[in-house]
Amino acid sequence: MLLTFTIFAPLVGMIAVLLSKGDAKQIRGIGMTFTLITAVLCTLVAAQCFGLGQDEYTLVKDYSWIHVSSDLDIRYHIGVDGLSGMLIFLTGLLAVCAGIASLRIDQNVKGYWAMFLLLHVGVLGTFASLDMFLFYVFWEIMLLPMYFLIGIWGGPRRMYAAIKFFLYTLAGSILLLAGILVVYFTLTSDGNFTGNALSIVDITNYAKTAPGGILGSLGAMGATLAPWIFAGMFIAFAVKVPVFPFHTWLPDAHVEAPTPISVILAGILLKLGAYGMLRINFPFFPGVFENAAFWIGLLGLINIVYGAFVAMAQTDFKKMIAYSSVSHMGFVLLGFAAMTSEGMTGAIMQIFNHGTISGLLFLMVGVVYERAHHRDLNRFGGLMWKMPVFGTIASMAMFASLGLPSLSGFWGEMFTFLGSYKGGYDGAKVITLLALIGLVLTAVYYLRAIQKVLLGKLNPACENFADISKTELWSMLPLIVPTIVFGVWPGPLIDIFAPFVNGILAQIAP
Amino acid sequence: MEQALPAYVPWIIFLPAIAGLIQQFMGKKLPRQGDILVIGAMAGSLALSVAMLFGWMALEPGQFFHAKMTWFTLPNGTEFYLGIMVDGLTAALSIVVTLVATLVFLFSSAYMKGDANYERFFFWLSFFGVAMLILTLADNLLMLFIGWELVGLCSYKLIGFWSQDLANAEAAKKAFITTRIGDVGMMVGILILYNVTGSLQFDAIYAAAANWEGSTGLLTMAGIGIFLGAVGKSAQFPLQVWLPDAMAGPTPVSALIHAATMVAAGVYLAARMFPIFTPDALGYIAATGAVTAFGAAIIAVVQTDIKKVLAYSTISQLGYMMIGVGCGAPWAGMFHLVTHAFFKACLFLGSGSVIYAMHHAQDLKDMGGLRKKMPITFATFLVATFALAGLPFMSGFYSKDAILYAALGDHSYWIFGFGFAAAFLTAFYMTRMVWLCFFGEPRNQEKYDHAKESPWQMTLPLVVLAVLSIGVIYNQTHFADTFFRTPAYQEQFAKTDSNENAYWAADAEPPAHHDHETWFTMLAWTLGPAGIGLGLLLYARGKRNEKSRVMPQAMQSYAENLAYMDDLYLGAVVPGFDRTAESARWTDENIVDGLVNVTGRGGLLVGDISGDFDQVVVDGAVTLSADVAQGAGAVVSTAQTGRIRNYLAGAIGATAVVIVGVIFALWIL
Amino acid sequence: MLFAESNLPELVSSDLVNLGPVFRHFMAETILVLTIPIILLVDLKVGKERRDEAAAKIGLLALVTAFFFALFQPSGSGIVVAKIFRADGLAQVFRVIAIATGMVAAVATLRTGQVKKGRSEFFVLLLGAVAGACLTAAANDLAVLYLAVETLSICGYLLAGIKKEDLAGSEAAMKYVIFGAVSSCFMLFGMSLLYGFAGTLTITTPEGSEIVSLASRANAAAGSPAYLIALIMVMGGFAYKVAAAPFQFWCPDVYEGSPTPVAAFLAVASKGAGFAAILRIVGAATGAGSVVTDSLAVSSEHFRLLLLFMAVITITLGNVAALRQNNSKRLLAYSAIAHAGYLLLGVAVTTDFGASAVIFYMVVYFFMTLGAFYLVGIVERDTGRTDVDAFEGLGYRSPWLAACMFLFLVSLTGLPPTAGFVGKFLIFKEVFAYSGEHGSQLFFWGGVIGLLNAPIGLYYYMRFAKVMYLCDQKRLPEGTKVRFAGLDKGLMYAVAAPVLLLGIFFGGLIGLAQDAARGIFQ
Repeated sequence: MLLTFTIFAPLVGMIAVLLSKGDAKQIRGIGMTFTLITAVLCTLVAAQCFGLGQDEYTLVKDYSWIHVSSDLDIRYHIGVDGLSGMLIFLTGLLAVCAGIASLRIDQNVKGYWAMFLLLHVGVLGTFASLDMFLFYVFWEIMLLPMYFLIGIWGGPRRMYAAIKFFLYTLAGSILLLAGILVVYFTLTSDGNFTGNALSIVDITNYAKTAPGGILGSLGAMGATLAPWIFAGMFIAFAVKVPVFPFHTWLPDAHVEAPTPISVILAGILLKLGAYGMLRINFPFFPGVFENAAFWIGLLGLINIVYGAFVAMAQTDFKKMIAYSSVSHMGFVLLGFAAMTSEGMTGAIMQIFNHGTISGLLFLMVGVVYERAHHRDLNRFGGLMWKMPVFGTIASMAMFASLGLPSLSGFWGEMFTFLGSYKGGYDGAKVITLLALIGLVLTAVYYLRAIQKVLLGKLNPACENFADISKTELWSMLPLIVPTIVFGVWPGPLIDIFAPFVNGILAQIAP
Repeated sequence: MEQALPAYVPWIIFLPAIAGLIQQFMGKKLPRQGDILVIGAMAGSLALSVAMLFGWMALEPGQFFHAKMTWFTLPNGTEFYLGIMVDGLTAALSIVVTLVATLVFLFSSAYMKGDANYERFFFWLSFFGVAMLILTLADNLLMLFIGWELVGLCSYKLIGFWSQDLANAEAAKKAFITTRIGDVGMMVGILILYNVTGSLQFDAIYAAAANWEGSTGLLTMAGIGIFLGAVGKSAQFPLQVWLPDAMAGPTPVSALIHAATMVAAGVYLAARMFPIFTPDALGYIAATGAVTAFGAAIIAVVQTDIKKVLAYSTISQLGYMMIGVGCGAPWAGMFHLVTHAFFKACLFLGSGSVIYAMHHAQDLKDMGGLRKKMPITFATFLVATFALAGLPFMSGFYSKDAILYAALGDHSYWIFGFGFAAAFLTAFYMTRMVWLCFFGEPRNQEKYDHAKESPWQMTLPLVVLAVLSIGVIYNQTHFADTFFRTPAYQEQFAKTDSNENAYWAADAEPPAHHDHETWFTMLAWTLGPAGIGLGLLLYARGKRNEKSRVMPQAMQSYAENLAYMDDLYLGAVVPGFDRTAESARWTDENIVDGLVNVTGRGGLLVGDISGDFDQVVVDGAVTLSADVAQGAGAVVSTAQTGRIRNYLAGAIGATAVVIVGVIFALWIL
Repeated sequence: MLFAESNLPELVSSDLVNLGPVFRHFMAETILVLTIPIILLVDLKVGKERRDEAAAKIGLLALVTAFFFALFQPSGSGIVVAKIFRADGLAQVFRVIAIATGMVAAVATLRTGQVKKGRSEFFVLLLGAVAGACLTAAANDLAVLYLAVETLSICGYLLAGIKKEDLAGSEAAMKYVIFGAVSSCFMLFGMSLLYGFAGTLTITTPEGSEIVSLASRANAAAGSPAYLIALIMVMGGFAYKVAAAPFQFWCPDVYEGSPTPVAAFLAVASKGAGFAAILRIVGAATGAGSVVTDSLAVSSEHFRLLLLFMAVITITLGNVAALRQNNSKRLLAYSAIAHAGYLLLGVAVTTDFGASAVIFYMVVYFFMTLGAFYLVGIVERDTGRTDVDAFEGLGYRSPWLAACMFLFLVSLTGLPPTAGFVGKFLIFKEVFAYSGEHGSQLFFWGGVIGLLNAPIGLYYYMRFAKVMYLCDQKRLPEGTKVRFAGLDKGLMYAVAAPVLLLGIFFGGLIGLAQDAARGIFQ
């Protein structure tokens, strides 16, 4: 039941918010309370996920939802393993930070908190679903609140950004739906398959043994279809990650979204794409994945270098960080493609650590924006002397993001490189060496940002800036702690998802 | 042979770490803003290092301390360790680090007095100590790399310590990025080694290098990659550009980080990784060292900023050390590292003392004749200069001598030549600087009058370091032998006789010295004095000052333009990158995103068309059947009269009746 | 005429025991039909002032009672009434839909004050149309089918132009008439051809009976190419009725011109009836219930592809054309076209599962489209505008109404957790399943294209969401608070609730649809 409670606690919160007759203050109270409850539950869930066996799920609940016939049996099938447990924990973490940061939202508070909580239902549900129908439902449920959160509480070009995000992700997930349907009908008419044709677990297991993959029973057509389906699903998730060239919704969405939403967007929604790849895309089509590894690695490289270059040329602080996200998610792809234990480890660490660090960075931008009401890098300067605490945290966040050892950002990159260089596909070495350029570029744009914002003479326009408030500090603390702790001691992080890594490697790179 | 690590050794790192933490969170509240705490902690580490040193010396030759604990384990079972390995290299370097650090801290407590961020300064100093010691004591490449990056961070923070002035921030950024470029090379090395070894432990790497599976070329690549890291950190050609700018930092920082320890870490790395260097790699290292040593020495000749002179001198000396490593005598390089650390730190602190006296004027044009004003500084400075110039019986003499002889023994004569020339130039420009600074007439009377000897916190370190610059205290045969001939990888070399990859096997014993040919001895003895003599000849008569040209035009302009390297980078490389970035942004906004928007607009356009199309068809059809419409229009218009109701009534009524009737009929039948 | 055409003697000679069902199975229709003269008579009797009110009362009463009868009428796939009607699940479902639509349309008309005068006419026509729709769904005889369709259509024409004072309405009616006429010609021609081939007007043979029908003769007929032409003709005719490409032109103009509730009725009831008939005929034409010979298999395959292309084109045309509509009724008209396409996609696979998906989708479509039109009507009543911008700030002016609208939109787009998603899921499931089983690349890509239309749909549906919620709340149009209370509210929730609930608990409806669809194909 714990998992179910975790998923639907925000929903209860949303209903409570909608029904409450209270003023903004009370609604914030309700919203925050449920956010905290959710976070606690998330932590409990994550705590369950240590020391699982390979391919083992815990907190599994499997009820029949819609049972029409043996081949249309949609189930409420949820469960977590190390990976989803870790991500659920991350969700809780960021929910708290974003929640605290949301306390300063004063326009249309009721609607905001309702959407904010609904968003988490979608996210948590997606992480927990083991049934593809359920997965898709939660996956789509995320879109609506996001659309409104950007569209109503966003910046000047919010409508454009919101609809762009919505269309882009929907176009992607449609491909996912097509994939799900094809897999589904194929398996229902496949004699050798004895499971539920919608159960992620069953299909994953079947993919191990099925001759010619899960579409094997289609014969020649299956062989031609499999790459298409794989590509379709990949694009569906790639849009979320986002992978070049499907990334252009990201800067718009980030720039327009209110701070807390940027935090969630960068911290969690991007991770959903990577999660989908690990949970569905790769395990279902191990054969295709092996052939696609090179291209995925290449895309990773492009993300890293191209993203870094574009970030380098930005004058908008938030946009720069948005593109840095593009660049950093490239490491995730690079790690996936490698099909090595180091690469997977690095990629997944990157998933988690980028979640915390980018969250921190966006909160930081939010702090600046609160005071300056603009984000133009060239119109700051010397904040270090005016707001020392902020300055320290900000530079820490940026150094963490550029992969300074002893901060968590380092491990993702380090192991991605170590693994990717060992990569199991031709050209892995070259791609990895080229990706190293990213290290320098990242340093360049972050140090420039630090110099333009924090150092130099205090810009007179920033005379009356106050150092960050208690609230702001509290909204950052939950992210600062893991950034340092996992930077110095990555052990626990690796332990939680180690079984998963072994499992998926056994699946895709036997 | 591994020996159990004495329990106190980790505290060499912990002490400054704890001090740093306290400093970070309550520095301002502590008495004297916590400087005593930091200095004390570092002194403690010094004591422990000394203990460690003697502990190690008590071991059999070839033995070393080693202890490690599992840090974390990868899903596939690969383990990564936190480990400490203490052999001669480590022991000596940790002494150097802790000692110089302690002295510099002490010096700073006076030099930085009254600075707004006094306690931050000490925090970063302490942090640097920690990072540097991690780098030194690490038993694996990963930890070393972490320390490596962290000292980079500290250097960044300390160079930019006064970054209200953007120029300093610029210098800091330049330093960090330039070294980071080197680190990319180092990463390449690490990747290759890890890929073959499956571990980053030094012993594992040594073993792998000893019987290498991959191609020799790959090992060379790995070696050069690792060395590139050193090139960045130790400001070797072509990445030396950052070090002179780094002088923007407070002078104690320059002494500690940019003269004695961090920049020397590159040499330590090269010595530490020596077993993996193939002859080709070593050749590259030696060449780099030679070019750097000579090129920088020339530039030093024309510098007018007292710290810049020392900076270029440092670059050149680091080049020297690299020559040592490259010519197969890492022990010689390390030896020079140690001696250089002391006398160069002394020189920097001395210059700091001068600058302090001159109220932060550091251009030679404001100096002159200071020997009367600040005798202690002068004396110590002079001693250190002699050491650097390589006068006999000074420390520099022995180490340089060892390096040059190694080059000779390696039969790489052009390198020997470069080193030789560089040694001569060194003596010359040091003389020039000393003279322009301490002798002759004061060239800025007003500043001169205010100048006075610095307080004991500053002079004491000078004296200590000066003493350490005197050569006889290194009975250097045994010194080098003891510390650097028997590093932890000694036993690995034993295995490697069969292996032609690793240099060491080529001749298992490095050239034993002190059976020099006489001509070499002669040269070595006269080299320093000659340089000094020339210097006196040119400057002692007071006709020339810091501006005057002393070299052929070509060399002069080469030197004055800093070997055109900055022009190259700032003029070509950096703008190149910026342009790339700009065009990438343009592509992203106009092409990648453009496509998306175009698709969108295209959709809308098609929408318009097909929408209008429907309209046209419908209306067209209507107009075509105009008369039909007329007729129907008539119907409707009559309907408007309302009579339609009656028609309808009739019609439908009738039908209803019929239906009912029929059904009824059927029902009956 | 009715009986003359479908040779009376046979009918008479058929066993009399089965004649009771004429009433037992067609209570609803009977009520509707019989109410018509009643209204007229009352209308003639009572005075001018109470006329409209009385007509409304009687009409509604009739619809409601008919509705309940329809719900509880006995039905079974075997039942054939006088050989010309079938009282099977298909007829049942679409009858209920038609009558319910009639009810809502009637209420909506009254609530939104669309037809102030001449309500008796309105109700007469409405009841006629509803009855026509019901019979269309039930007809098992080409002639009867034609008559039923015409009844529906003619009433539809007049309903479209019911607001005589309104020029746009008259014009709309005009266009509807003209195109309707053309379509009828197609249909009639096609039917006559089919009669030529089959030698009977009966469409289907329920299992277990020996009735000779188009279905049982299809094998013989399939040989000749003209057979396909005949089918195309008939399909063309029905394509008009359901507004499927390439015969969808009239739809936007008519919906825009006619009173909103009427538009709703046309969009739901007549489309529904049309699809019921399409299912029957396609079923028969592909030889439902008889052994399929190769020749028939071939022609069926061609026919399937034809339907597939029609469907894909319809979906795309409808969605794309909707992108730039600023009038909400036109926009919904195009969305209705698109949905006709989705339904055709379900028909195209010609399996019972496909049919069940169509039926499911139709039910869902009934709720969401009817709701949307009703809502437009309400907004139109209070703002006097039907353009999309009339919805500006609705989310803040009357949040619950906006919430309902948003729910409909999400469902029309086909996003979970709404019924619209499940409907699309089922249809596309069948499409892909078909492509898998028959290794048909065309169906696969057809399905993909169909799915890829979703974002296009999203774009224009979300324009409502945009004006309703994303507007600048500082500058909301003053005063125009849309009233949302009483019957409106109740009915709206009654329509909206299923859209959400069927999105989460849809097992029951699927089962029902599968029962209704049993035996339509194979």
